[in-house]
Amino acid sequence: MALLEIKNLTTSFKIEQGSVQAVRDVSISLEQGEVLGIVGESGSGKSQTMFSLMGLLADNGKVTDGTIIFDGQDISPKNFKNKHEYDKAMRKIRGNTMSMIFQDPMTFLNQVLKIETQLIEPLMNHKKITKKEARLKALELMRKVGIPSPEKRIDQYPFEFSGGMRQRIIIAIALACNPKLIIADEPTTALDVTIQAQVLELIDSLREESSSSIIMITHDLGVVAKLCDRVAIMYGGKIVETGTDQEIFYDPKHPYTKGLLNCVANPEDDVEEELHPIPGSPPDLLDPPIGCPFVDRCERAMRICKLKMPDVTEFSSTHQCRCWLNHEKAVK
Amino acid sequence: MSNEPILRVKNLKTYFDVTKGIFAKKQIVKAVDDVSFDVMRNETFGLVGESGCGKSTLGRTIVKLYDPNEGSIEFEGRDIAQIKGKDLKEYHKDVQMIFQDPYASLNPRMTVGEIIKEPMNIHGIYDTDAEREVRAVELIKIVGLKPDHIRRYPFEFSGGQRQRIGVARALALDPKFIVCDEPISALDVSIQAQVINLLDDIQEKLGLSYLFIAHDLSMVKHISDRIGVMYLGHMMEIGPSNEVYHRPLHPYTVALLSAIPIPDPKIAKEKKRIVLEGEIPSPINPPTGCVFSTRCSKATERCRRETPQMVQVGNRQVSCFLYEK
Repeated sequence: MALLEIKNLTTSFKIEQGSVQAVRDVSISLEQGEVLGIVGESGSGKSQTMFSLMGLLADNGKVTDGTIIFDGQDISPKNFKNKHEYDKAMRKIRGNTMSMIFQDPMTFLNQVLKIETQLIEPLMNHKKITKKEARLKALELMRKVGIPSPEKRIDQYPFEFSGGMRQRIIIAIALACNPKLIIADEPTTALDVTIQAQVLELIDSLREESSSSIIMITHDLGVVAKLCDRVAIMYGGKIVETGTDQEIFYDPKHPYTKGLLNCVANPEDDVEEELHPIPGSPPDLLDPPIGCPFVDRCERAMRICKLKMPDVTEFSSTHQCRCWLNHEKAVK
Repeated sequence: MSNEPILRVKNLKTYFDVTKGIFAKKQIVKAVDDVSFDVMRNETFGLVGESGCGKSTLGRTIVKLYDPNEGSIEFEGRDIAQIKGKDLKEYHKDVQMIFQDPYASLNPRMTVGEIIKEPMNIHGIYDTDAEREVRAVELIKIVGLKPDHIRRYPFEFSGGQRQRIGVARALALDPKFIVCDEPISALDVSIQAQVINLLDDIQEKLGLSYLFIAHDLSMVKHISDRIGVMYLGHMMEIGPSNEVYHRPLHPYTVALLSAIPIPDPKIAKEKKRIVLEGEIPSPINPPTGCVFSTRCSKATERCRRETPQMVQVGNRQVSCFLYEK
């Protein structure tokens, strides 16, 4: 059975002007030990999908439809009597079997608490151990994520750490309870290239050691190529294509995926090819298009694209795409 | 690209005094320390390095937002390092800047038209406002926006469009040289390529020279003719972008290039990376000798003692003892 099964998830946010439909009918499944990359531009709904899953939506956000099955348990908000019950259940899961790594290590860590306090917090909350044992475990975690002289560093405060070291602390906190699922939201975006390389190597080696599944949210196709087994491409609140890394990079089917791959410079190529940017900008999700969200920027858009969202076409058991061009009657 | 340099930077030093308190020991950040390079006419010179390496300070010193402590900046044969007042204003007609954050660099209370016309007002180009308006419309068309956009405010535009407005403002005075300080790093991938292509196009049309500062190495390689690699205030290596990328000389360049994630799963998953140990040292107390010696796998006793000078290797320059003859 899959570790995580999200079906037809829909999330919207109430604002003064109406409701922003950030996540629209998203389905994702994830096996134990798998690394899934969710790629999309800002505002494509990739982070909000994960926040819906973790129960961390802002106050004006609400999961309006869909089911989420995690580790055999239905954790969709509608499955609980009220918000209080839901929050209580999610608090037991978050930091325990499901943990997260956030983008900005400076805002995630509490400035006025020692590293020790922040590292043992998930252990004290979820495991029945004493403070002393938790400290030993924390030291072990710090060693695991490559922090030199942990005995000294554990009593320091976040400001005494550099960006890369802070991100390592956050990874250590995420790993504390041996989670089944780690959600990493742009874990290296705020870091420099050489530090990014260090953190990516760390995540890669941890993945080999443990059986945790990872969901990696990113806009950097290089990071995806390096770490992910499977990739989901999001656009305008919808998943437009999913496939294995090879299928997405070497045989993309959706015009948006193709466009995305065409507009990054591959430094290995020497021929000075002009980049092919995707014209225009993403749709406004306050009033999302009825048809395919990509229609206004798509070179090959047809009349039907504006009228109806295309169905899923399966190219293989892992490779699915939503585009009218794959319809048998479309001009190839 | 011609062989005549439009800009020659020689032994440039920009230091900042960060001493706290009156009795404290003097603390100096050597943001740019003894940097020399040329930018040719019609060339794009890419400047790469990690945060804190001094690349932005160097760019800002060239535009004279900061005054250099030592060294010379020759623009079209004239040293502008110490100019002030009227001369400086004159210089700014030729040299303009595009900033990183398109949200912070445009005044939210001015319309796009006013933003683009502001440099023309300051420098008294054109006699009437009507003429300036005509020029603003012309510029807005060059950067790919619509003429009626000049009556709108910045908040009505997306990040990519705002950056286009920034480009239009930089072009308002017909400059010869533009310093682009990370113009694409705040933008989405699909939008980045739009801005890069725009910069490419106007360079061809108007014969501009660029100093292109960025930390995204793959984009820098794509747009630049030559690349300079900076580390902790020092220039480590200069050379044609393809050669630097494929045959990096300096150990730091080797490590930096190996760290780029390649958007190709086969290469990315098999690639053996050289992962640098440790972090960038503080520029307040930089290591003695070669600044990279603390993280360099090839460092010797000599590297920790002496600072290497730039040596010429073919058509490239590198600052490392390994290449000394």
